[in-house]
Amino acid sequence: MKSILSYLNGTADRLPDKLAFSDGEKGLTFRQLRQAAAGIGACLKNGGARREPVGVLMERGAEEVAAFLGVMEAGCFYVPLDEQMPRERLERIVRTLNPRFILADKQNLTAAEGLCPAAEHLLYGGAASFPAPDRLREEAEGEDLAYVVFTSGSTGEPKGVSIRNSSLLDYAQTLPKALGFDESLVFGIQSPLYFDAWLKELLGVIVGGGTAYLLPRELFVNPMALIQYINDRGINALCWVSSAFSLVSKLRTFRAILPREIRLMCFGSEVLPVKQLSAWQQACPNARIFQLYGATECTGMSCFHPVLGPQDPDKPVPVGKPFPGTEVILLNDEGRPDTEGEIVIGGPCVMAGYYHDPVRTAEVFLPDPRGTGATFYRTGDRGRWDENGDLVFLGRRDRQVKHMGHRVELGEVEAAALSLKGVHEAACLYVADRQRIDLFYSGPAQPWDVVIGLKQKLPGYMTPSRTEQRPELPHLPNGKLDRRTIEQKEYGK
Amino acid sequence: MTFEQLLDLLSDLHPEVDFLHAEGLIDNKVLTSFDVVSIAAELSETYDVELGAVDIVPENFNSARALFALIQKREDE
Repeated sequence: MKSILSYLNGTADRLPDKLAFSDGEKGLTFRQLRQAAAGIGACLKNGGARREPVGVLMERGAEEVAAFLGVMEAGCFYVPLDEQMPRERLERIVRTLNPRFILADKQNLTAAEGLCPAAEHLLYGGAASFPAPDRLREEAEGEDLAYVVFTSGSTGEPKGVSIRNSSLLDYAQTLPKALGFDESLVFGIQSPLYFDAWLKELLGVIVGGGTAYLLPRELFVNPMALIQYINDRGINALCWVSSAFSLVSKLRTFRAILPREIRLMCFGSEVLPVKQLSAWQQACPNARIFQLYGATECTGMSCFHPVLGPQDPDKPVPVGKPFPGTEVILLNDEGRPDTEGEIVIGGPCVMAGYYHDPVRTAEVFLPDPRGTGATFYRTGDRGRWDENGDLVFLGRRDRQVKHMGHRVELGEVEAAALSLKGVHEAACLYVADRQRIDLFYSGPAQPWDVVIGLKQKLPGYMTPSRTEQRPELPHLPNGKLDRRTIEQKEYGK
Repeated sequence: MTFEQLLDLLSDLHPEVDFLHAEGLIDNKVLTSFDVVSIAAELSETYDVELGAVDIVPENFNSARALFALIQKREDE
């Protein structure tokens, strides 16, 4: 089947000297991006890599993008290892993968060597300039994996979502068309590259021929400077998590400075309050706006909904209709398709499974209830169809929350707390209106030590905002923690 | 709002940090963008102190004292 890299061939032929990706200082044109990916691919193949995981430990930037594409060029699949992840989480991921090859930049080479001493470590600079053909491969094995990204797992063990080439190709064939990506778009990437959220911008660049700037993280503590940065670089397309949009509008940034050229806005991953949405609508009157919905296990986004005009604050904004080729079914409590129920997604977008984890894969896979033989993914989200045939997101069925755009299993935070010395029991609650994770625990450990312990085990977005010691935690008659009583006692609700 | 109340608010977010003495809270990435939003929301909801975008610059959040000076300025207005 066609390779996703064939799109980059086409765009690099057409626009060789146009800027593809930049962090604002260092950038790669389409020609340079293709060259670097080709070199990395050739270097890996020369070293004997084939259809296997290649860890990438690099700073967020254009070169990291080239590294991911280069791994695919070698017929392997990339696994982002973020430099900011706590050491223990990185070690768990590496234990699951057991990679023979790790690609690192100069800044991270020593860390990569310490993390996985047995692997062969390739330095980005050398690999990218390895002698290689001018063009990337046009064909790929559809069943082979393209990438594995790790998400939060309720037992404390991160899950490696494994995505096939065929799923990524399907995304490339549907998303840019549905959202109208073209060469005139200049994206500002808000998300880190170690999840799948930034694939939208990847496709906007290599398929649509646009340019993408990786927005420096520190700009999000300085919203006026963020908008100034966006204006200075002519950024006109923002595909951000809802909380990033909210962050800017909540601080009343638009009273001081307006984004001048925004023509496309996509938000998703969480609900964007209508008040914040309308602040953006007023600030960017010429923008086409889409609400998106999807799951990492289904290669990013599966549904889209154009947001037109003012929205009713009392009604949720629908997440819309599935992309062509994707199917959404709502299953009621009896497991039958209904107008309201658990959202299950089918189509080429569905992942191959969790990496080396058949048990947890089986928990989320479902044969098509209509007996077609297709595999569907149970999202754990609840939804309903509205009168226009649009999907409306209603919330979660379990203890997974979306916090600052990231998926967090509260059970994973509890598991991390329970692994600390002096923590006997732990209950984690999400305070949605304050966007805060709170942890209550019993045991002799001091809150200070628990917080420090958690920071060593969990990424920053998963560490609780509040950690409180209690003499004991309440239980249900069956012995389980009584989270409802904890909630009532702590928040009076 | 008193300085002690501000220290309590900050310690709720990061009990491991000695906010009385810590400097470079933004520069050293102790406080994230979402911490800044939480702080602004808490100041508004609990203490009726309204910060605007012009206030949200690293210099104002790099230390508890700098933030307290800003709060006092806004309270006086």
